[in-house]
Amino acid sequence: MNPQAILSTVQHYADRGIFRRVNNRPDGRGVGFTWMFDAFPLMLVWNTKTNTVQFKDVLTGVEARSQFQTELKAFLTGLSDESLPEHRRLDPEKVSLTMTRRDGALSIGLKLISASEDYAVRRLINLTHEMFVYLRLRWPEYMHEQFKLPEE
Amino acid sequence: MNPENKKSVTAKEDISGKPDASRRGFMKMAATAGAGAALAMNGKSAEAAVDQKDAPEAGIKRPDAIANVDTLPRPDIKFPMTGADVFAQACKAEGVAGFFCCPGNYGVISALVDAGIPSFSGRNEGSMVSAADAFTRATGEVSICSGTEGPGFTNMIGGLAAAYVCRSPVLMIASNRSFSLEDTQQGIQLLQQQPLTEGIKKYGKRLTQPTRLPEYVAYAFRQLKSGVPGPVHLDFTLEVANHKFRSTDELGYYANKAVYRTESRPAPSSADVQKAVDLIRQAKRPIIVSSTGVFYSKAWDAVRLVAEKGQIPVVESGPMRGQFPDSHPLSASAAPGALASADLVILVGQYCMPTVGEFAFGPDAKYIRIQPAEAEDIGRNLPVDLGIVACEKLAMEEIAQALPKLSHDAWLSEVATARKAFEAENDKFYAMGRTYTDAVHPAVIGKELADFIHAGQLPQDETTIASGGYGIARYVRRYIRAHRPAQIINGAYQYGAIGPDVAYGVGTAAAVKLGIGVQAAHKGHPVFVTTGDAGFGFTAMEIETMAKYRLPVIVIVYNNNAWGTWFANSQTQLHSSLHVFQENLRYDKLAEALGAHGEYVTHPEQFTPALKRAYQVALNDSLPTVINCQAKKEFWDKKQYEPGFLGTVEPGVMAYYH
Repeated sequence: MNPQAILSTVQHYADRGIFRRVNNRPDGRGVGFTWMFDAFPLMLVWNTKTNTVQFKDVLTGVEARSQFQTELKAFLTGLSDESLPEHRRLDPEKVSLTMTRRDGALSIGLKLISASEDYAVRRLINLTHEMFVYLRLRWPEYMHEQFKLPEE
Repeated sequence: MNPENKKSVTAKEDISGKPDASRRGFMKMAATAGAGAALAMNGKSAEAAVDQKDAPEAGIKRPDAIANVDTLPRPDIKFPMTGADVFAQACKAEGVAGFFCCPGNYGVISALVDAGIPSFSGRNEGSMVSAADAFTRATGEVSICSGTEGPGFTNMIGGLAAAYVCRSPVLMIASNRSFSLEDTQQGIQLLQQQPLTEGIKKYGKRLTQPTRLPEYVAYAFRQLKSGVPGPVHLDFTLEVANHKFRSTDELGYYANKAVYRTESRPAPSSADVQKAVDLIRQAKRPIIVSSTGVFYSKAWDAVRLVAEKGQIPVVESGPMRGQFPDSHPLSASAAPGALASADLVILVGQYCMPTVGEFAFGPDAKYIRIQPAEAEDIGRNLPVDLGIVACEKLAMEEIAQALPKLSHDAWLSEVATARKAFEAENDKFYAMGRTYTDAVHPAVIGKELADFIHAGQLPQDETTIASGGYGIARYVRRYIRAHRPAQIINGAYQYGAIGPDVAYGVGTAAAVKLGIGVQAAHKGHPVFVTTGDAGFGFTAMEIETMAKYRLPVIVIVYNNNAWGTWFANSQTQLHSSLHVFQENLRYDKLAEALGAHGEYVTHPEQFTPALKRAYQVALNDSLPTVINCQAKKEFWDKKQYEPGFLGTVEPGVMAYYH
């Protein structure tokens, strides 16, 4: 895994104005930035041993075995469905979805199988965008509680 | 629709010439007339002399002044005329199509009525601003609203704020005592108005110099009729309203709108058009967002040309919908699942800009933004790959001409699939809602209302809907469709005001009844309003206004015994106590007490029959109806009642933030 390729992809979005306040982690294994929610910056981390890229603790307040977690998992795994067009689909020959929960915080990532770092990071960014669109629609109360979106 | 029965009455003339424009003068005149009439009858006190015909047992009586208002003769206004008349005549020359007020600013409102501008008087100044806002959103034409100084004016501020964020070209006026009393607090209601409307108007002026009135009226209409639209606030001092203008000469060139403003619009540069065409040709999945500016610049035909030539889907946003028909094969307004695939987004007249992530377009999308003014706004909130400062209509016409025929079969297939998935989900929600038989679920209201309006005996583009409410709106928006410009008025757009919905119904219904602007082809047809019980509480008295003016409106109240905020605050009974009402309240009986028809629906199978009865009342008697749909606040809890409280995706049918 080439961390520079990951950082280059992140920089592309920063140059376009989609990401702001990009800052590298001191240990060189992650990069933080602000995207959709000013008060809730994201942390993109990578693990060269497991060949994964991940948004660490992207969702908080997630209860174990909750309806929320069950439905979210179904939504995210559905992004590999064959019926989806190529530009929206997580190709299981290239990447596989990872989802881990610890102390109520959910981390979502992709394990690289045959994909390039650029492909994996772009797909992860896009699936995270789709996830938030889904949450705004299906779980507005969660978005209000955790991300302080307007109640109305 | 049967014409209303008119009683044979003699036309009543004004009881005096021009009324004294001061409040004191008006009150004195009214008291004198009332006392005189009482004494003339039998010498008893005014209270005892009440005509027995007006006793409550006789039922609600519509005043002759209202019944006859359309046939009463208008005075022939000539010089010398007051400032109020100069203003009113200028409004008439500018084609102002509707006027909404509460009493106050007497000289000016009387002058507007005398000028023949269709006029409506309601119960609250704030409601009248909302009515004017809805009238303008429903027609595309400038409307006026007026209130008295002091508390009348401060009542108007909320409505003005909503009109501002909707970019509605509404002219809000209010009286403001006398310039000679500045800073004295003599009498009552003295207040500086203009500072209080900073930030919620496009232009404003306190009118203090009588001879410059025509100049400032011209200012106002230049602002109302050009650029990115927005409301204007003028406050009238007595010196200005009462000033005597002796001849046209005193108006200078401001007597002629052809020379005090221009109809010219900025056209796009050929270089910008070519850049836009290049971006479209490079894109695999382009999409057009047709927004507020498409409506006010009447660009809908041009948008359609670009869409059809380029085979580009169109999704709508804004405070009114229907400029691109939802029934068109290229419509993506009800295809939220496809939006993340767009790689080029053409924002046409999107004045209210979302921030990154608020629209469902993915992070890789490129943006073109087209609007006629405020170049400094292009690039705000979202990065642009091309900004075009031009009239939306002219820009889209040029792009349509320069664009070659394109095809995007795979992309259109993806949009069609997303549309089907959305409709299937709506059907699923409806099926769930019908299983809850002890109350009326919002999906039942949404689906059956849409079926009645679009899929029954009515032409699908006939009925205008003022879609309001909070939680109920999130259901209703999923089902109702817009097939022509301003078929749907998106009530709570951007400002998210809870409460103006019934007032929006007054304005929308007035627009349709009169057949103004884009509503011309649907003149006289009944109109629907949806709202919640919380919102109904703010402007319910305007049901009387609707009944008084025989506005055929069907107001559907989603009565779930609580504010829509109950669910988010229901963790403890203590907190929830701030969000609940008494249960099973009878808003339908309130409507009947105000001269309207009422229906109370407690089970889902009763809803459509109630709609049909209400529609017949609207057609036969031109009377409004309140359909009070008894729901339950627990419907918002998906653990008890799937699908629970719904969120939104923007842009498209569900959108109201941007």
